[in-house]
Amino acid sequence: MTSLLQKIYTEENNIKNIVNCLILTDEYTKSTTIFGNIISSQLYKDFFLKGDLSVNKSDYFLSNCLENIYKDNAFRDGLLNYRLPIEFANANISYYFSESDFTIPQSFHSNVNIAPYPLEWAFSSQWTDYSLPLIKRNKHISILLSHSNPSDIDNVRYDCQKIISKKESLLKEDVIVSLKKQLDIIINSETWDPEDQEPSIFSFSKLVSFYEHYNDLRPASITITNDGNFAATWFMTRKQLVRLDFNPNSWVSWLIFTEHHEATKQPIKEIGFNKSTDIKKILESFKVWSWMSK
Amino acid sequence: MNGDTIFPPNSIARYCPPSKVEHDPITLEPLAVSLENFKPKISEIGTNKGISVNWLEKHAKPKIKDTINSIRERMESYPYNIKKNGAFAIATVKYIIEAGLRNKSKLSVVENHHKLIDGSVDDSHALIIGIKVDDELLQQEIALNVDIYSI
Repeated sequence: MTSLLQKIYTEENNIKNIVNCLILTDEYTKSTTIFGNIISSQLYKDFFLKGDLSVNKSDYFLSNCLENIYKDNAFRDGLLNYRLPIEFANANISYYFSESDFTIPQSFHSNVNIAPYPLEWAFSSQWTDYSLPLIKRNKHISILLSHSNPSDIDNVRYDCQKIISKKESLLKEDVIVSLKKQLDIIINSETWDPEDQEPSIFSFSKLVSFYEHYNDLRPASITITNDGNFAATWFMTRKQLVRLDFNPNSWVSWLIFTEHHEATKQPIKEIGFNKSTDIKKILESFKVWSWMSK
Repeated sequence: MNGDTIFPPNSIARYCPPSKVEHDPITLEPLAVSLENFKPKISEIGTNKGISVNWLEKHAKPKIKDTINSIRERMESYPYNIKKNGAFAIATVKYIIEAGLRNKSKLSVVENHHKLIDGSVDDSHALIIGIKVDDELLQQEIALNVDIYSI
């Protein structure tokens, strides 16, 4: 993610519109990411000293050290979990978070005007009356992100590969190799239809986490859904399968399709939608988990 | 004629992009196509237009490979491009109708002539009508029982 911020930093001439700071915590991994600290002093004055933000600004802005920002401010008021995407934008670019598992310290929300957005706003990339004071001025933060530009599809693959690399020590070798090879095929600017929904790196992250937690799983076939989610399919035979569609919010759409199940002697055609932590138990009840882990 | 129903024993071909082809996770050979290829996309106004396919017999050649190539050449004049590594899913109209009935859906295939970039009309373009967006079991059943020809 840091590299994506750097990407904005280097590619956009108006980087002055990027403001510090934002702390995001992934509930699942408990990892924390800090963005920001790029604001210029002029913008600080424009936005905050002359602005209508009635907050104790010095607590939050113009720190020269992200670690200090984190140390001083993070979690002071506890975490407020928004199950909504977050968007920051400036006049020319619009990136969004569609991750629902991130949390924002409440203090940052209330004082710094970081706000959760309903999903439809995030995707419309339009300025709205509901926007924050900064957005109303068409000068606002740009922070991360799914790639909103279809031409960046190769960057999506790169981000997915980075997710694999981070978890490499926790994943089986055959899973790593298979994921990387399949990413090259299914997410490739030479073959990608720009009208298709861009793959969600957050969905991919959930897929990798699933592999991490269930290390006995064998490699699955990976495809992209119409919603941009990653779906993993474990085939028993060509016509018998288990399919898991990883939503970015840690829920999984599952599908079991068998013609003649070896254990039950009956066909199984079932679908459901459950939290990823419940999936193994559900699939075991249908006696199909063993397919996936052989 | 545009809008007419295509009946058995005709067949249809559905283009499946690489991101919706199930590859063997080890050998990377195409194994199947994903159910997404038979999941209708809903337009902004909420319309389910159906699944875009090509009427195979309109391109009939002695060899199936040549038939697929004929469809592929025609599709190259569509507003979008066929991508390398994709695949064509082939099914009979009879199978489509019967799969629908098994899943309590009335499916049909109708001609839907497609205007090409050069102004000519593709009279092989058709739509599978009647698949519901949320009927993933039907979509999966169709996806698992088509024949696959990788490009």
